[in-house]
Amino acid sequence: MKDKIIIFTLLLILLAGCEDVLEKKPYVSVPDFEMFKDVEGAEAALIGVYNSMTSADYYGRHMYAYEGSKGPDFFVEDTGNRFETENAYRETSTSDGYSDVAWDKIYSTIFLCNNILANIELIDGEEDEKRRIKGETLAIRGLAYFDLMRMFAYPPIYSIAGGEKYNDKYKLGVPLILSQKEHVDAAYEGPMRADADVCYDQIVTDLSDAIVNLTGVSPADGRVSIVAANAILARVYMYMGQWGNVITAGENAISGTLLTHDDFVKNYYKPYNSESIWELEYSVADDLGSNALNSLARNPTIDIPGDPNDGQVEDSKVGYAGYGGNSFLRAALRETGTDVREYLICDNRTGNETGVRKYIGDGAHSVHNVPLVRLPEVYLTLAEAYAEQGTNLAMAAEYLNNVYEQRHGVAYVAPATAALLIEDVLKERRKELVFEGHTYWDHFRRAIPFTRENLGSITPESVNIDYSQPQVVYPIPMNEMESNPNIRGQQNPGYAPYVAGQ
Amino acid sequence: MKKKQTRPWWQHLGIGKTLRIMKLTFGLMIIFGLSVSAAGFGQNKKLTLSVKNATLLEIFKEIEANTDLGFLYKNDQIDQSKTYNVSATNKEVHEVLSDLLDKGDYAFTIIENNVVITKTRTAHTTAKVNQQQQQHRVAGNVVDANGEPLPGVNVYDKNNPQNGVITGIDGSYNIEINNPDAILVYSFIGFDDQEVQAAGRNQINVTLVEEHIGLDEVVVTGYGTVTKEAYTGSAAVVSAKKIEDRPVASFQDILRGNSPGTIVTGTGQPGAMSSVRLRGVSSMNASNAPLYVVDGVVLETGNMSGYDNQYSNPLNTLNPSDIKSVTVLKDATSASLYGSRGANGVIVITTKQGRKTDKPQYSVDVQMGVSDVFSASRPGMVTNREDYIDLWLEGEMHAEVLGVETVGKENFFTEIQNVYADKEGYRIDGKNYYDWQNEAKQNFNSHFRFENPDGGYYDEFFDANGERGAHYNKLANTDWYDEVTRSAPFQKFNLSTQGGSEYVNYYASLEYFNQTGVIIGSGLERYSMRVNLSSKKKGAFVHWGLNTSLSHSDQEGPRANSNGYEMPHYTALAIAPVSPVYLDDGSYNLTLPKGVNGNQNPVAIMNTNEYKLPQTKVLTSGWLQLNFTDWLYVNSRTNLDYSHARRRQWNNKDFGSGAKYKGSLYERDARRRKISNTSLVHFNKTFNDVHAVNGYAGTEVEDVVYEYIAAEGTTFPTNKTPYLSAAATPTEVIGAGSNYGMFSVLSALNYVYNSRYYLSGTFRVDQSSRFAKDYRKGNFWSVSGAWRVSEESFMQNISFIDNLKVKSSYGTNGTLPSDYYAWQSLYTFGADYMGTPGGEPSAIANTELTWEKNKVFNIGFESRLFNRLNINVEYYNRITEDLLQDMPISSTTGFDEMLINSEASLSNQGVEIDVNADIVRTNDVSWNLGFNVATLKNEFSGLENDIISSTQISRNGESYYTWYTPKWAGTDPNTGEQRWYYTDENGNDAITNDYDMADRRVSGTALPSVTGGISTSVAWKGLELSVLFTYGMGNEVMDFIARSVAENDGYRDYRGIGSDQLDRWTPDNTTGKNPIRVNGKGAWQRNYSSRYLHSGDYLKLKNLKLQYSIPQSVTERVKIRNASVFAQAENLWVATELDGYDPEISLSGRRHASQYPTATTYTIGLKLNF
Repeated sequence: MKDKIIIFTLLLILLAGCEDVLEKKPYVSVPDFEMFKDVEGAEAALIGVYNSMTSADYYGRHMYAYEGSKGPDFFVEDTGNRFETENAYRETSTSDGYSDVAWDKIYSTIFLCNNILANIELIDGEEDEKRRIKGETLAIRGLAYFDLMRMFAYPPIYSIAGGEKYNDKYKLGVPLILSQKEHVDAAYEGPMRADADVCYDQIVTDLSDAIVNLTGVSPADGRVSIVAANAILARVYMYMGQWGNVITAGENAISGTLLTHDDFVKNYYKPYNSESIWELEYSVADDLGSNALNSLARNPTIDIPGDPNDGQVEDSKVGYAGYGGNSFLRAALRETGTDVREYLICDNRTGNETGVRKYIGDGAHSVHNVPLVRLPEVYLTLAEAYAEQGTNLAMAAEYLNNVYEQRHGVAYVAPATAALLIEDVLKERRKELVFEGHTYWDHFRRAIPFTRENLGSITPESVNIDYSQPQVVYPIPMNEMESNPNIRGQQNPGYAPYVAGQ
Repeated sequence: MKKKQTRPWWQHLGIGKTLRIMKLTFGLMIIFGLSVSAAGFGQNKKLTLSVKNATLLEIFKEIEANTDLGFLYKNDQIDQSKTYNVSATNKEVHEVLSDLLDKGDYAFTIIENNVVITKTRTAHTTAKVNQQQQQHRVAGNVVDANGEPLPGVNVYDKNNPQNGVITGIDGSYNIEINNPDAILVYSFIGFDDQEVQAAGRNQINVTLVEEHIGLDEVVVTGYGTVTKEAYTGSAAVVSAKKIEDRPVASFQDILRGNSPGTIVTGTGQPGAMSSVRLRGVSSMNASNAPLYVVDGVVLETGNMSGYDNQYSNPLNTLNPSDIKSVTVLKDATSASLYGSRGANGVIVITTKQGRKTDKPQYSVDVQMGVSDVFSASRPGMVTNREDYIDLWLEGEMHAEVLGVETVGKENFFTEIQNVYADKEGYRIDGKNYYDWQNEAKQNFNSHFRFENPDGGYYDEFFDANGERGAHYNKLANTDWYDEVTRSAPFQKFNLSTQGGSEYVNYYASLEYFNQTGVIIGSGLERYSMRVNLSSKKKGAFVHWGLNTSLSHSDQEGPRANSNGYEMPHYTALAIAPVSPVYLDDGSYNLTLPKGVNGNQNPVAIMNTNEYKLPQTKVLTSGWLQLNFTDWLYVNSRTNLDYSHARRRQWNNKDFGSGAKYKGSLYERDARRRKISNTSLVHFNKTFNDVHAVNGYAGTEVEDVVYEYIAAEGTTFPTNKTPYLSAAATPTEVIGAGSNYGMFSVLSALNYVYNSRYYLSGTFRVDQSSRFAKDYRKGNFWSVSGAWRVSEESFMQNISFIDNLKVKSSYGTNGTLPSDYYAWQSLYTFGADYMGTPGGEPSAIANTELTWEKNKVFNIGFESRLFNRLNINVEYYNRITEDLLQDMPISSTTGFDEMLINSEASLSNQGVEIDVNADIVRTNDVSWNLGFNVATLKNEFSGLENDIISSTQISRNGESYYTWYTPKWAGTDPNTGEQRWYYTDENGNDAITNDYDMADRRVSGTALPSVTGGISTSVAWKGLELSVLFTYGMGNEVMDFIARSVAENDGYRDYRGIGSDQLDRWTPDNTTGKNPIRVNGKGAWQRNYSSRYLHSGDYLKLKNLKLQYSIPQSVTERVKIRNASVFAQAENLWVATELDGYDPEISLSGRRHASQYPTATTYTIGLKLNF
């Protein structure tokens, strides 16, 4: 019996305890507080920011696809995707195209930036490194808010008092969330939209701060540099019509050399070619496949780099792609007959030449970098700014010619007036920056109406765009309305106000 | 159902079966000794015993305490008022008993270690035996249903009960009766009494049948066993008999129709996981699946394939033949034992154990058969090329007219009617009806072309005049569903042995199972083996056991549950019958109409690609029990549940998904191990004979680690080497895992007063790693009680009530979130950029996360009447609160949802009735009928907003899976348009042909409000026919096949067409049921509406089985204990409103093209025991 008592006691001791099974750490995650202990962690968080930008919902596809569907160059095939809605200007409060994914992804990128900004000062490490991380993060946050403003708010000419088309109804920007705490608070109490002028000021502040922090940091492939930050700042000032500031920032952003007329076709799609200022890099592991811009606008059935027929559509097959370039775009690229960018026109349906091969991966065609800023844009931005200032049209013509001569093989002959020069700049922008997220907003920011070809999803009602229709910007997404009562009264003009339970 | 004995009767009485025997019947009580005794004890054991003024029961207990003898007797036969004195020193047991029992008018027989006590019927009336009557002698043998002799059976004259004898060890008896026509009664514990008229015979052999409340009617809770009478909760037990021979891969199928309140749904893919829902649906975010417990081990059932559409199913590694019983625990009493995991009920599986036998026993089961697509789950498509062409051309012609610029949608309907009305004369855009027809035919030529042997195309199906062209006869008459399905063989071999030696009992089995799928390229093959060991002497200080199973299963087949072309049963619906499977040269036709499905010819895909889910599983559980006293013991059980699951997907380089990558291969290798321990102190004590208290307390810990690696490669030199090393380009290498743990303290206390009043309580504290420290601890409890009314003295005169028990329970349990780390604010790595690893938070943390709380109330009664009718009725109400919900939050947070415990709750309530009757029960013939029905009312409340999906709504006051669609108003007889209802300004129903105007309405729910099963079996001598029906009603199902394929009125002009579409509106047939056909172009979407909703009421013939037990006289000659042969069919027939729909496939009421069809399986089998 004594033995039994001893064993019984031992068993009871065994039964007690072993609480360590409750402390479980995830495998490929670390808690926030561990992430921001050192520069290494902050850098990893910054990599996360870049990765977020490469998503198909942001620069991987959506940012440029949105511009393509709204602008004058593309029609969207009748395939049952939401780009059709956008192409036809058919978004409503309840059927909101891809606005929800764009809204979500860009705010998610901003959230990642704010996490870094909240912690970067507190961590141990080299001041220079911390400054670089802070600079890159600020630049990206500035760009992200700028992108939100482009998709969800009216450009400054409409939205900021003093603008030519200003009206109170256009004045709202987007909710500005600038700290970690505000993100957490937003889970319980959704934020309201800030006014557009406040938003643009914040964008300028972020980019300016970024430039300060990036001073002395040498540019690296795939990362935002001081040059890129200046180029984007110039772009922002251009939307705001602050031409002097455009020139200051723009001239700080001149870097690299343009591809020559002869070299263009060989190199335009190559990663980090000589005119690239900032591009997002994609590796095979990042392959967006059918979500890649390549598949959206081209999709040849002969997809074998190096093959003589590469990029073409086989006789027996249909190279199905969601987006087709219209005849207006083809006409523009063929206007002078010597434009190397004619090469961009390719088949994606037998004989129709509607494909646009802006994006071609070197290995797999759907794996290609996405340019955010290129030197030709900076030149054209400067040309526009000088022409707008009107004091140095020669300078404007020179900047335009930088691009013109390399693309057409002949020198640009400047017209007599600034207005005509600006027209030429915009025309050149359309050809040079097609499918890079500019053309639509180049019209919109200047309130220039345009006409589209009645093809694909485009209906007679959506042929002429003059910004009086509601769908020139996205509605605030239904999801946001549902989860954030505070924003419900702030829908964009022309869209039906929020009604619960629809 | 009759319970048949499958082994010699005394095995039931062996020591080590205490609990099983305790439940024998009401009115019976059996007590066992626990003492250790010398080996080889028999009837000659010497005994020293001294008691004074003790009742017989007390004396029996004393003897049990000092020997390993056990006593068996009927309660009401032991006179408790009499006391005896015994004084024996080292006397033979036999002698002691003889002395004792002779004083008390009892007889006894010792069989093995059991003393069977019977009252001597001649005791008081010997003098009154009528000597003048003619004496008649009857002899014979009494055997059980398996032909095993039954010793100790009381045989007596019904009119003169005092005249009785007891059968001997060989089951023989010899009785003298005074009337040759007397009725003899054969009576034995655990068996139904049987009456036989002697009718002058001298030889009467009798087979006794076990009482319905059979020998295995215990409730196994996973932490112990409770006798059925003492059980205060709600449980359904499915016994081995219902499991063993069914031709199914997993035991889950068996629950259909056999367990009230249990809804089992699943596709026909061999080896695929079914959804089991007990008493409704209680959660939106967390799992609704019950907990599976095998021999005390909580099984990990999570998917390990990393891909929900190819779910690796750990349950398909269990051999159903090893299962002794499946107990479905539904209410709080037992489910609360499982605390934070018990909310969805618990399915407790016990496997077979060995018993002591004279010699090892072997069983061989062989079953073979064939499966075909269950005709009811086969979609009806147009397979005749002429019909197809007519329908297609009609739609195409309409589309062409619609496309004319001057027509458009506004004028279409009038123009179409005009052109039909005057086929020659009326012209649109210069063309009359026949011109338009011809135009459609020319489109047909290009649309349906396919390759000819010269590398060109067959595309002259119609000539320029619209007549049949040169290639018309090249068009096929393909029934694509036929092409992707097949008659699939089924085989199962099971070999098992069991027995016991002096020290150990064992059960071991080997199984080979191979069920080929009815869809080409699918099936399940399994090898499994099991060894269960336990020490023999339950009462010894050290008692132990070890259950181990090893199994490997190879599941192969297409993915499931999503749209996709790599599902042949889906693709088969999507291809026109005019496309051939093979080209003239015998190669696969890879030019499908409009390039549909990426030209993935389903026959080619399934024959060339691989979709495999191999799995290896080790499930082992060892326990050690230390018996400190006869009322206190400690049991500690340690378990290992280890799974190794792989996924292999090979896409060949020549066509289909792999062509783009020159072949692609994905391989994933995942391991999961769970180690758990349950250590409990048990006690069991009776005070003053009437107060019985038992219970346990202890701890439980579980620790789970799951890890995987996966890799993908592309660019293969040849299809012959589908292995990663042959890939030129590695495209993905990943590896990660997850883990969680739980620590619990648990306890249970049961009190019984005089076998009449039962009270139970459980209490458990769980701590889970899935919550933040401060929110980690949860308390779960239950209380329950039962009153066995039939045991009351005032009930003793009501002879037809054999049992009546009223019971009720209330308690709480919970459901853990599926997410292991949702409470932590985390950066997750894997967000790579430029080859550099980065991190992103994957979700917004909620530190306050906690369990969903489930409160369950249960009340009901169990009864047995006339000794042949069982009626059980229960009402339950369970309410789940703090529902885990992915609550939408402002995306400005960086996330669009957050996992929270919301204010919402779901309630499930219903009544379950289970009736079982032995309608005929004679020596040769028996007929049993079982019927069960369960109702379910499911309801949301507390939701902040309606949650609306494309077809369903979650709304307060409505059920889970509530349909929310516009109401279909039929085809417009004037124009052939689709129409729906809307509510006009006055609130009245009005009809519109503008879908945007139609309003969505609640249109029933997919959850059936009534489900159940009907089973019956008829036996005549060795022949037995059994039938199982299942049924359900009160729900609506949506035909997604109709919307997306079969009834889309031409919208998807490249797909197959359902036969139903032959009845369509045209200007020539304005009574057509379906709307006017218009091909493609998205002119009129086939929108969701009640057009595609159908009543889900059904009655299904689930299983039909005919079995013949070969007479012992035959089997004995070849030294086989017993043998039987059977033939059966599974999934035979179903009645539903919706054709081509097997109601047992989908829980959410969807008939969907992605669902693997169910099969009708016919098998024949042979079972041998020797």
